[in-house]
Amino acid sequence: MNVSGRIDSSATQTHITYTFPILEQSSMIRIEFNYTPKTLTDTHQAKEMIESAMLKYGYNDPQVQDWQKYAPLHNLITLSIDDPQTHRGQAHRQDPQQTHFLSADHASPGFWKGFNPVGQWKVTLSIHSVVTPECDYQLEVWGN
Amino acid sequence: MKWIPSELHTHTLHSDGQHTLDQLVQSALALGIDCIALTDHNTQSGLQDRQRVQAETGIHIVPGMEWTTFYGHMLTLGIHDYVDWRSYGIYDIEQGIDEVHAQGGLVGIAHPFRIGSPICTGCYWEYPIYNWEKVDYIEVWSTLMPAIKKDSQRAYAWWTSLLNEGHRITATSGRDWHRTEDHDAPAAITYLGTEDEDQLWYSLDIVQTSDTPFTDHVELEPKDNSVLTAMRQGAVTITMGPLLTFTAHVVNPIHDNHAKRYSIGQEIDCPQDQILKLEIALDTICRQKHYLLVDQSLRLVVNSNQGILFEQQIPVQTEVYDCELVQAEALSWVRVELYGYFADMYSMIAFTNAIYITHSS
Repeated sequence: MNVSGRIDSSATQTHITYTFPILEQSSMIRIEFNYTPKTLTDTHQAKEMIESAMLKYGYNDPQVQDWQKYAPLHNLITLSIDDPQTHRGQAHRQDPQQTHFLSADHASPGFWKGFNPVGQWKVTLSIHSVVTPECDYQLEVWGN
Repeated sequence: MKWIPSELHTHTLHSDGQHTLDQLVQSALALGIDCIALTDHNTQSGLQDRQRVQAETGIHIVPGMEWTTFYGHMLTLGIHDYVDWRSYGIYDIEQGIDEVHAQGGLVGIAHPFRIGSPICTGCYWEYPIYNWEKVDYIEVWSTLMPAIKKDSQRAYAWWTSLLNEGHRITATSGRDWHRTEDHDAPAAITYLGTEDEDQLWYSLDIVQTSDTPFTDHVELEPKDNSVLTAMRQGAVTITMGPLLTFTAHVVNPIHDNHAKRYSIGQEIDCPQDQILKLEIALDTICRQKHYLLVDQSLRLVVNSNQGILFEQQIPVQTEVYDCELVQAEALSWVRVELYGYFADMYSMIAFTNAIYITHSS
């Protein structure tokens, strides 16, 4: 499977799940995932969003209004995997480029090692935050 | 009562921590910590190394996870199967809590007042709670030097208001430990009290292996029961350094030494017109080499739903202090707090969980 997409802030706090077949026994499932941009570089927009959050969450102490301590803002998308039988784990981290693998003896951090059953697999992208006007992602999964 | 120095909120490379479980445990042991909860974000896969690390080091690792959702971060402890956070929305958190409880696990609200999205996604607790009976604990102190942090102060005040409303919720600290650096500021320690299960805590781990080749199923161990029982009972006291504990009993004018003592987290019945006596213990010896508390006059405070009941200036030394509460009728809970200079800052240094009070007629 090789898919890509473009999302904006309206995708914040949603999940995108790709369901796909693994038709042959695979000793190794590999996943490449990346998204870009990672960081909101527009300081005017960042200031506006940060000050809005400071107000919302009660951090608007008039003595301390240093919005820059919270800059820069980042997009955050995390990836989780479910095989046809069980949940295999999640990679909750900030890296915008990720490589994962699943095999009987090893798995990349965040995931459980084990046999890779044939059937319908799911990869879920959890969109914790999109702060840039647009965010492009690419997801590739293959077995060997 | 045996008090186990613990750290209940940690991360490894399996989520966004910057250390392995081995490195985390070595850092914990260097601080005199006997028990950690591994609470990686949305995964329990770091527990694959748990039995080996426990066997090699003697530390106890409680299986946990931090539900890192869009609307709040929730710690889970002591569950054997992954509970999926992804399907629950902002009004559904109690269903998720029910799933954790169905496995005998506990849930705690992590850093409820940390600034939220998009700065720290989901970090501020936004879930409405309709039934506070379901929340087992609140992480009222978070990160390093928590007592001076405003988000921890807000959490502490929130916990106090919930106690005043009659809810019995355990308070904890959590370092939210992602990395260890040479000059880290001091972290708080959560002491967990074990009494009936002393034998269990010190028993050898039962080595259990799963028959399945892979799994997100975690085998629980006897020591986990000690931890979960302490948390469930509220037998928990939090400190930057010295161990602060207390007991309560109804004064018996003739045989006071034989009166039953109630410890932190327990409920005591204090009949009308009876005097409630607290015995407050400060222990400056345990973990002594792991913190620096300069010689000074500390402020010992007994706090309650009726506000401050008792204050005393005390020296930095191991001692027991008595406090008699002659008008206890209006009390529903009491706890003890310690204030002073720590790491060059004046702040709260330690606090206990509450002893709850009822009044039979």
